[in-house]
This record gives sequence, structure tokens and C-alpha cells, in this order.
Amino acid sequence: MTKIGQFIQEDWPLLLPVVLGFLAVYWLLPRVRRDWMVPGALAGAAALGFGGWLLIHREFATVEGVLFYAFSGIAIVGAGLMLAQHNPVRAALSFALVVLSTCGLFLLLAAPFLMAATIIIYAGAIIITFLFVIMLAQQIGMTSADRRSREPFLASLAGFVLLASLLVVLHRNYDNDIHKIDERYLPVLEKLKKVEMAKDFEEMNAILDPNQHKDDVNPLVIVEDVRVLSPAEYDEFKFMNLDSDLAERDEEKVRSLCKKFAGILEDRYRKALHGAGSLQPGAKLPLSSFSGVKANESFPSQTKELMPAQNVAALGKSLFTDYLVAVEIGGLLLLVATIGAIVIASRRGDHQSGEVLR
Amino acid sequence: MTPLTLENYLVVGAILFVLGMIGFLTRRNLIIMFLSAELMLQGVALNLLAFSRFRGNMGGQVLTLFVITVAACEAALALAMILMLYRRRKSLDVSLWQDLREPNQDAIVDEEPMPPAPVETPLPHLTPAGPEPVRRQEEISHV
Repeated sequence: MTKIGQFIQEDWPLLLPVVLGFLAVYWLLPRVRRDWMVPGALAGAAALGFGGWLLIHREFATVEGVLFYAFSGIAIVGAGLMLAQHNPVRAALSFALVVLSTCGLFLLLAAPFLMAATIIIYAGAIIITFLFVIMLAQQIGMTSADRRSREPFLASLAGFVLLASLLVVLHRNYDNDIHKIDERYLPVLEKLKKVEMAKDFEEMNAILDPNQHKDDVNPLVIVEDVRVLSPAEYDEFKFMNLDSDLAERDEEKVRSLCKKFAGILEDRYRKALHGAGSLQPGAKLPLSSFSGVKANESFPSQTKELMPAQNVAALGKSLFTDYLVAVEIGGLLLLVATIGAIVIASRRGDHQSGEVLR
Repeated sequence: MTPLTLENYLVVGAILFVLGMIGFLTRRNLIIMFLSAELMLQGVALNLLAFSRFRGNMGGQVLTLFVITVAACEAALALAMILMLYRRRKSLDVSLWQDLREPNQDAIVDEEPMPPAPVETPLPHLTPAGPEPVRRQEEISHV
């Protein structure tokens, strides 16, 4: 019991939105008497708001951030609506909303081809076919089955226990790593910003003076540790150890150097965050290089951009080198599925059971 | 300044997957059950693309392409099966197929009765017209 208490005490900010989401889904699932719609909607809004605030707790003001929260919010609300709708046509339309907003997320994830393919295949073909079948099968509108759920309590409990465990694992894995990276880079970045903002040389000297500081806050020590700089860059920033510019009291030179250094360090910081929390296969594994960065390449040493600019070209190259057999099997699967659908949907089975044709 | 990390996308993918799972378990309409399965696939696709983006490897995008392929096959077969099942039972309710359950499993019975259907108000009728008036010869010639 003490372990459970400790767990709740440590992770309550994660568990609270999960519990609120559980209440929302449980109350909103269709049933004959809909007395709990308003509390359910309120609990859902609270869960979304609180969970969003938890994810946002890191400083965020980028376009990417705003778009991410907008798209994921719409996607989750659409999925909730799909669960709660009585009417299957409306549920299919809410699913279309989910597909469109996840396509926005795909675009944020640098996958424009898959965004287009998903919109065309899901929203354009699959949902429309579903709507056709709904209209073929349910011409009278809603049936009583649409107004009931099977075991709403147990199903939502199982789902949200799974969600809570996933969230706790993700949180413990990624937030520790991100915290370490923050500790490594942010003090130096802050210090360099302060130097840029400094009014006169005395203030600059006070911030940068290597004699005053321990090694852990000296920018160069961190740079050597991370090994992110090329030898030329390293030589350029040696001034801080040599103290020459400070000795020359050249204010502008120090300022511009610090600015450049801060820019490079910020880029490295972003790349380090990209690699946070990932496990890497052994460096000696012979991995293919056709699909982009090898999985066992270490992250901070990468200086090039992660994703190729030509998405379709890179995807095609990967498909027809590394995944050629899978492409063939996928084509075979499509053929088999087409034949199977025709066989299942043909009316021959009816004639065999009822009156014989001809 | 701090950019989005892999964790954010994985959280959204996990939420979509769990909502789809709950929908698949609770909803009784065959079509909504298959929509929920597709929702789970969307969550998985989001995860794969996030890994692809943050590891700089196209493998995730290729896998997502295969997920879409399999989803298209699944939709074709599912719709054919739904049509066939509908022809047999004249309803999309999965509970009508519960005679396929295991022998020691209890049948699901709907305990709560449905509320009475709202009484349809009859459509308004026009007042019946009287006999056709007799028209004089002058009226007819004017027309």
C-alpha cells in the first residue's frame, strides 16, 4: 500500500487528467438515459485543459507548438465525439474530423505525402464507403443498439488503466532525459544571453571571467564534453580560456562571438532534445543507410538536417530498396482482399440457402 | 524556445489508441466498431511518424504506408462482411450474433427498457374542397 501511496503522490499530475478523462468517457458513452451528459462534457473539458497545461508547462510560443496543440486537441475531441454519438452517420463524420486533424499532425511531422495519402484514402474513400453502407443498411435511422453500450464501466476502466500506464512510462523515460539536457545546456545559454544584454565591459567581464567560475558553468567545458563543435569552431571559441579578448577589453568582439556561440549551442540543444529518451542499437550492427539516418548513429554528432527535403523521393528510395519484399507482399495483400471482398459480398450465398437460382 | 519533443506526439497517439479501444469494446453498431479500429490505427500511425521524424529515418513513414494499405484491405473486407451480416439479421447490432459465444458464457440481455418512442404528430390536412362551381358561358369564353 505504501508503494501505491508513493506512486500516487509522485505522479498525481499525470493521473488526475486520466481520471477526469475516464469519468468523461464513462458518462458520455451512449446509454438509454442520458442524465450525465453535462458533467461528462465538463469532465472532458477539464481533462483536456489540465492535460494540455501539463504538456505546455515547458515554455512554448512557436508556430509549431500552437499548431500541434490545436490539431491534437481537435483530434481528441473528435475521437470523444465519435464514442459519444448515437447516430452512426455523425460518428463517421466525427471520425473524418479526427482523420483531418491527425493529417495536420502528419504534416508537422514532415510527412506531406502520407498526409495527402491519408486524406485521399481515409477521408475520401473509406469514410464515404462507410457512409454508403450506413445508408444502405440503416434506412430507418437509429436503432436501439445505437443507444446502448456493452459494459461501459469495465471497458473505460481497462482503457484508462492502459492510458495511465503508458503516460507514466513515457513521462518517466522522457522527462528525465529532457531534464538532464536542460541542465546541461540551459545555464550556458542563459549566460551567453546575459553577455549579449550586458551594458558595459565590466559587466561582461564579471559574467564571463573564468577565474570566478567553476568548470561546470564554463561554456567551453560543456562544449568539449558534448563534442558538438568542429575543430575550427573550437579554435574560434578558445578565447574564453585564453582570456585574450577579455584582456584586450574588446567589447564588440566578445559580444559577437558570444552571439554566434549561443546560436550554435541553441541548435545543438534542439538536436539533443530530438534524441531524448531513445535507446540505440549497438554501433557495430550493419544497418542499411537507404532510409536516412542509421538507427545506431549517435545524435549529437549529427550536424545535417534530420529529414530529407524531398519527402516523396526519399520515401520511394526507401520503399524500393529496404522494403522491396514488403511492397510486393502489400500488393499481393491488396489483390487477395479485393477477391475476398467480391466473394463475400456476392449474393450467391443467399441463393444457396433459399430458392435455387435457375 | 524549447521545441516539441517526441513525448508530446507519443502522448497524443496513446490517447487516440485508447479511445479507439474503448469504442471497439463498448459500441454495438458494427460500423462504429470498425471506425474505432481505424481510430486505433490512426494512433499507431501517429506514433510511427513521430519516431520517423525524430530519428531521421524513413522506416516509420514506410510502415505507415503499409498501415494505410492494410487499413484499406481491412475496410473492403469489413464492409463486405457487414453487408453479408446485415442481410442475415436485418440489423447492424453485434449482440444479435451472440449465439457465436463460448458455451459457458452468459448471454447479454438489455435490462433497461427503451423509453417509449415519441408519438408522431399527424401531418396537417387541407380542408376538403366543395363541389365544383357551375361556371357561366361568359366566364368560360374569357378564359
